[in-house]
Amino acid sequence: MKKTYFVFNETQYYREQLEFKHLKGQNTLVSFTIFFMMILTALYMFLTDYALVPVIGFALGYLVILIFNFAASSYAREYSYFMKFNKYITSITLFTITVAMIIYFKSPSFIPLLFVVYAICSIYKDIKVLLVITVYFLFSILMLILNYQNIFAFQNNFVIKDLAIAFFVFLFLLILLSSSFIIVKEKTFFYNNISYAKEKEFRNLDLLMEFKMKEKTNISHNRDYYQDTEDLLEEFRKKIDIPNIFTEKIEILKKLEKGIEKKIILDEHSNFTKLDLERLGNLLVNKNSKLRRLILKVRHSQLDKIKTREIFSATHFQSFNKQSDNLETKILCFVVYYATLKKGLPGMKSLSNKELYDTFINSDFYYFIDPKVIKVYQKNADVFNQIVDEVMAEVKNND
Amino acid sequence: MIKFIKKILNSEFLPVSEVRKLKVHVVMSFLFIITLVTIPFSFFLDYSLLTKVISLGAFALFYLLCVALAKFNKIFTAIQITMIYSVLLMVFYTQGISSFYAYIFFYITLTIILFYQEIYSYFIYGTLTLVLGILYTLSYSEGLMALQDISGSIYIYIAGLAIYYLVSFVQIFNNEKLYADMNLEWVKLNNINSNYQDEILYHLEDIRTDLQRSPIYEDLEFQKTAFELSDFVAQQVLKDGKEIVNLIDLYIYIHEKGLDAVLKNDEISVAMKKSSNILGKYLLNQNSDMFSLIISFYLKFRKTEPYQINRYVYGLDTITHLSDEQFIAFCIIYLYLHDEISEGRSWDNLDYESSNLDNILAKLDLSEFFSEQLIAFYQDNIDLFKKYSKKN
Repeated sequence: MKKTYFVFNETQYYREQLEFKHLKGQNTLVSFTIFFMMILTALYMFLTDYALVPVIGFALGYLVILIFNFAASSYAREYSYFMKFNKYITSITLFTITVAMIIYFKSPSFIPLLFVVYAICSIYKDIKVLLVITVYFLFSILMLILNYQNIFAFQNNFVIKDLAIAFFVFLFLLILLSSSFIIVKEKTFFYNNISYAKEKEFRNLDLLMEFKMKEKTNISHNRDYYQDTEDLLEEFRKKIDIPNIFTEKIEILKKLEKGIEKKIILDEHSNFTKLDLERLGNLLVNKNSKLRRLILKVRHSQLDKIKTREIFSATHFQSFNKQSDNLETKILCFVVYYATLKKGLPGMKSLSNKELYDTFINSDFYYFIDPKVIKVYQKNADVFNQIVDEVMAEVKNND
Repeated sequence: MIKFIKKILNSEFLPVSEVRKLKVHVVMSFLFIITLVTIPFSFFLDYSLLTKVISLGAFALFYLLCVALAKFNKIFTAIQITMIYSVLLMVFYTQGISSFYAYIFFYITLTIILFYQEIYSYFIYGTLTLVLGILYTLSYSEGLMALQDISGSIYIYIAGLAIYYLVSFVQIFNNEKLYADMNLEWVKLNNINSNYQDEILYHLEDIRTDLQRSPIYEDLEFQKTAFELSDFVAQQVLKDGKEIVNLIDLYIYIHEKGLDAVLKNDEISVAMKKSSNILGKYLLNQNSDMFSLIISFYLKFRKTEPYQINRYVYGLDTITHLSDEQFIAFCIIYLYLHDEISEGRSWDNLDYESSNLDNILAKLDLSEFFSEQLIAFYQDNIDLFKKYSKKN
């Protein structure tokens, strides 16, 4: 079963932001390597007395890729998809130049450059790019074997040479593809988890704000924050001798806090606009404002120093599918999780069968649970619902 | 096999330690294929029959060692052994014949070493492979050259291998830095989320007390549902479902008595204490993995603002761009936080006796929230802030 969405839909946008951020560095690395290859190619051709035209030809080929790279990087500041587009163009053109070199020089010594180009393109850590260059690689090798057999006419004619070369090239490609694939997935793991944690933080703050607003004793701590702020800034103002730029705004904040109508405030402070009041409304301390959100964020950002061992600890990955747990523990975790969600925590609504099934089966939550256990649920969701209904009815009857 | 491929395809959901294990299995699969192919290929290699038999026997033993290490979860040792194994296989092939296919083996070995993404291992085994590759190219050049080859083709072979080695090395460096940075960011975010969840747990307990409801683990409906469901699942995936019933009993018992009390109880067996320790990660009345995942599930169904590019930017300048308003906001934040911290909260991990706001702020990266101007304003006027933070 393939999942169809992330736990939080917003995750996908931040993942893209992260990807774009890292793509810039990767692109610089690729450009540098291309430049290095251009220098080496030109140097080899120059030292082995090739005519000037092919030297310029190949150097120009590399230069075109580099120019395209720089242009795409510049345009990517406005439209990030230029950078994505650039990955494909760079990979394909680099492969094309290398195949052209093999055909031009008619030497098997240039074939390993295809491996090098594959390694350069895998710097992008993009599965689609990997698939494109793998297909191109296979196509190039086949094309060379079928149309340019003289390239493979070695001095030392080994009995099963063709078979051995084909087998080991294929094996090499398979190892390269699978290793690059898993390395890309490692990157995806971090992108997914950072985005997930960021969105979870955002929603945790939302939830906390809601709880704070519902608190019986509103936490104003019996202090007039606006008055104390005014006094503090007044002393500061006098200390550095600047005009009074704070008092009027603090007055408006006091009025907004008291719930005085904006129209009346605007009449009393004619130099302020509706937009100003909206902005100042975000600075209220006892309301569900952006300032309160920031206070919560600062308040909870206090962290002890993180140790290196802690960074690489697997315990940070929260799931019910931990390698260190036995199957009994994994079953227990899932049924407790399911029963708690079904029952609902105080102050939170219980979730419907449909909501539970859809989230467990079609989102990333699917991978947080042991495959054997989640498959039992997937096949027997109706039985799960029936068991819960029967238990509820039984407990009610006994009451 | 299908399960293995599925695991590779879904490896983005596996933590680093499990991916490392998966990598060992992938490499071992390839080594298995290569070792198997070595048997027919060895007929064409220039070794005596005795050398071939001894080498193949040694490879088989070596492979069994890798299997045993992977089986007993000695992953780091298994990684080293598979790397040495691939280097030895490469030496066996390349010293036995002069051919282009043997040359490819250097790339195969470099790729296997690269796959583990470990700088020191790559430096040791990768450099060894490169040196052997260069020596091989120089010594067995006749097998690599075409009948009518260009001048200096041997140097192109060497350059190709060296560039491949260097590009891979740069990739490892880049990945190492990238993954270390991302890992650190992820751990920080997890810890911050854990701080929020401490407070969420406190509020939920508050709500529960107000509603005069018993804790969920004492709820009969919950207990019976957990027993029935676990029994049903156990029947499908386990031979014996008795164990799970005992485990749930223990789980509820830990909630009632507390994990520390269970671990200190001399009447409880060592095996049960071990199980209790594992279950400690999944308690409902603590900020555990279980609680965190329950909150995540609920958060999924919360309505939230539409996504904007600065959604996760918490700087004061995103609230107001005017510096006078930022000064006002900063003072309010300081005074409010001072009151919060001096009053203390039961959910908080802070040591209130030794903590004060200035010490806490000194540990924070204030630039995440405030401009340089504001930080300077705060640092230059700490006495003023202290004076006004005292309540009248």
